[in-house]
Amino acid sequence: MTDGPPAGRPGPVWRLRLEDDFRDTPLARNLARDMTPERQEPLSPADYGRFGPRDILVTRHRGRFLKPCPGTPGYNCCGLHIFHFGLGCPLGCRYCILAAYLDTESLVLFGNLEEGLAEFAALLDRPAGERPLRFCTGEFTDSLLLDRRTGLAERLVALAAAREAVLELKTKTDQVDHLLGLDHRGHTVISFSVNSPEMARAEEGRAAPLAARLAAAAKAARAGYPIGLHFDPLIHYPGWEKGYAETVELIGQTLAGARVAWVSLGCFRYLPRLKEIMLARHPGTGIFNGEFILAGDGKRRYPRPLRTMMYKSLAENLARVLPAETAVYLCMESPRVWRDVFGHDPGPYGLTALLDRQALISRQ
Amino acid sequence: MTKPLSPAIPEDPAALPPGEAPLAELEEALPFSFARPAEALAESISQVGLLRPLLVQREGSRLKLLAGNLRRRALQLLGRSAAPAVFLPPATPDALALALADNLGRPVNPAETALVWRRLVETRGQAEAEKLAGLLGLDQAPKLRRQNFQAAALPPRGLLALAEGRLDLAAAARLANWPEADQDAVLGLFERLNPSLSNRRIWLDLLEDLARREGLSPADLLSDPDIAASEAEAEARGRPAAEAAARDFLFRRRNPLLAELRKKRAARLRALNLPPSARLALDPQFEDLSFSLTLAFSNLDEFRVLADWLNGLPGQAGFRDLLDDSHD
Repeated sequence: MTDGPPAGRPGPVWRLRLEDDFRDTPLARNLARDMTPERQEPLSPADYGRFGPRDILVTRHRGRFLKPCPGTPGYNCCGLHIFHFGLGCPLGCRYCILAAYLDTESLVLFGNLEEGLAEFAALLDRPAGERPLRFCTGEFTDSLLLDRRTGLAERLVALAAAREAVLELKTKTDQVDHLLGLDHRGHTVISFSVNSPEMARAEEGRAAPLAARLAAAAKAARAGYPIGLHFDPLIHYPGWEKGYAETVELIGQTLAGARVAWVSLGCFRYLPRLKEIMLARHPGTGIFNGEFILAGDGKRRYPRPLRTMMYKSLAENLARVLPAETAVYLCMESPRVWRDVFGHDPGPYGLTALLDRQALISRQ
Repeated sequence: MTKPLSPAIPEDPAALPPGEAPLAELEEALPFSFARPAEALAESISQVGLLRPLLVQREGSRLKLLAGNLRRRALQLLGRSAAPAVFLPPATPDALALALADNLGRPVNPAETALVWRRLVETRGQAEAEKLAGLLGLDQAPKLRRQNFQAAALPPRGLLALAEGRLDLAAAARLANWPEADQDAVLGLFERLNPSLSNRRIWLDLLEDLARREGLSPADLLSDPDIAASEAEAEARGRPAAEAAARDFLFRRRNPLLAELRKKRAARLRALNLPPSARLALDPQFEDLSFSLTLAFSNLDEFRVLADWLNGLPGQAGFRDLLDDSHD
């Protein structure tokens, strides 16, 4: 019934709520090893809001488990496909866009995961040219937050290793030890969301401390995994330049010699309703103090010249500590910003192709 | 607020003069009639009499006025101390629903809705109140119910602004969470400058953001002499100009980078000397490269003049800077 902190800081004591249909599944058996399940009547998404940040709901997912990243018209998307195994995250980052999308602070895991894994395997059995190459699990939740207990990543890593596919596991935790001995064949990229030390401390709730994340990245690199880093969201605050330069410096020190497949940069953007939600939950947060415009996609973003300046600063610093073959790209940015930062706009297809090439380099 | 029943009021309604309710002792079950003057109704009653009796229910030692708040006030204006009433038996089911239905037979202002909703939640509990929400038109939107609950905490000055449509519900709900001194400062500003409803929200956004960022209160921010100076400077051009100038002052304080971008763009546009019949539209959010140029002309000669001007446009440095601000 109880669980330790999910990452680096004191976390919730979980309450596992399991629908009857899923009592006899690998997921439920794994979770029940150190949590006592409580019986849960079948839920629909409209019910999730009744549960809080301590609840893990094991319920049915209706719909497809694999979907393309929703992207945003007018902004370049990297073309990643998402394996959708759950929803929500209790880490409590102040900027988390999930808070504006999901009407719950609970963690939802899909009990019919076996159907999802079958869907994934069937897709991967198709010829490589007729389906996407890169997949991730960390779009609607953290890939590794509970993975020691669910055992999901191990199965996904094996699926990707056996096919022409690359899996990206994205996390803000330092929970990689259970993955180190897997036969991944370079088909899995373990990615860490990183921020400046100040922002990681002040705005990233119960996420692992930055140094712990990077230490975990170094461990994963030593186990042969390609590493991904996501500076997302970059937050504009007094001292941002120095703060992010420190993180880049730390990356240079910690990941020297590691294969960093890619680094993404994305400035803080949010749906307007996120501000109301987050200020009610965390009145002391400073993330909304910056200047924002309302972009065509309905999200608030820093003004373009500010974003350009931040990206340039980060890209220049990263170029000093990472090998030239590391792909540094912008997440959900406009062609105009791409041109101003890098001198060219790859377009959505060009960006997808670039990252596909990067993904293939490390395969064995 | 509950009051002990006056000893003059008999415990048994049957002992009252038949069908008469003592006006001073009635407690409003629901706070309908906020910001509704009773004078016109009093005038009508004095001429044709009271056409509908009050709806009253005894609850323990209290007499609840379920419907007829405005009639009671009108009658009191006329100096009456009692009025005809229908007395519901104490255990009448759905008495509140009856009261709501009776009151909702006429237009209800937003402040009344807020006050009534809050009273329902406070006296009946959230679950019970939600069963009645449909009668107030609040059954479909939890957010609307939350906003109404919050807005009802505004002081009378704010409630009056809400009732009279000078404050929208979302802004009222936000303002209700502010300390009283800040509410007063903002309501004073709104009364003085009369911003549009959408600009009121912008004012609140700016004040909340700046207060949070600078550690000042909205009242402190509004007492900045520079705001008064901006307002005074534009006053000669009328109240809307004064309001825009004061708001712009706060915008610049909140968004120095955007203010600078706007200033540069405005200067470049001015330097272009656009003919009056040409309009160049630029993305106000500085987000992308979408421009549109509209030319208006009524004959070939006018078009030739515009075409000459158009041909010269790419050669102007200011125009190139407008199209490419990457070095800004």
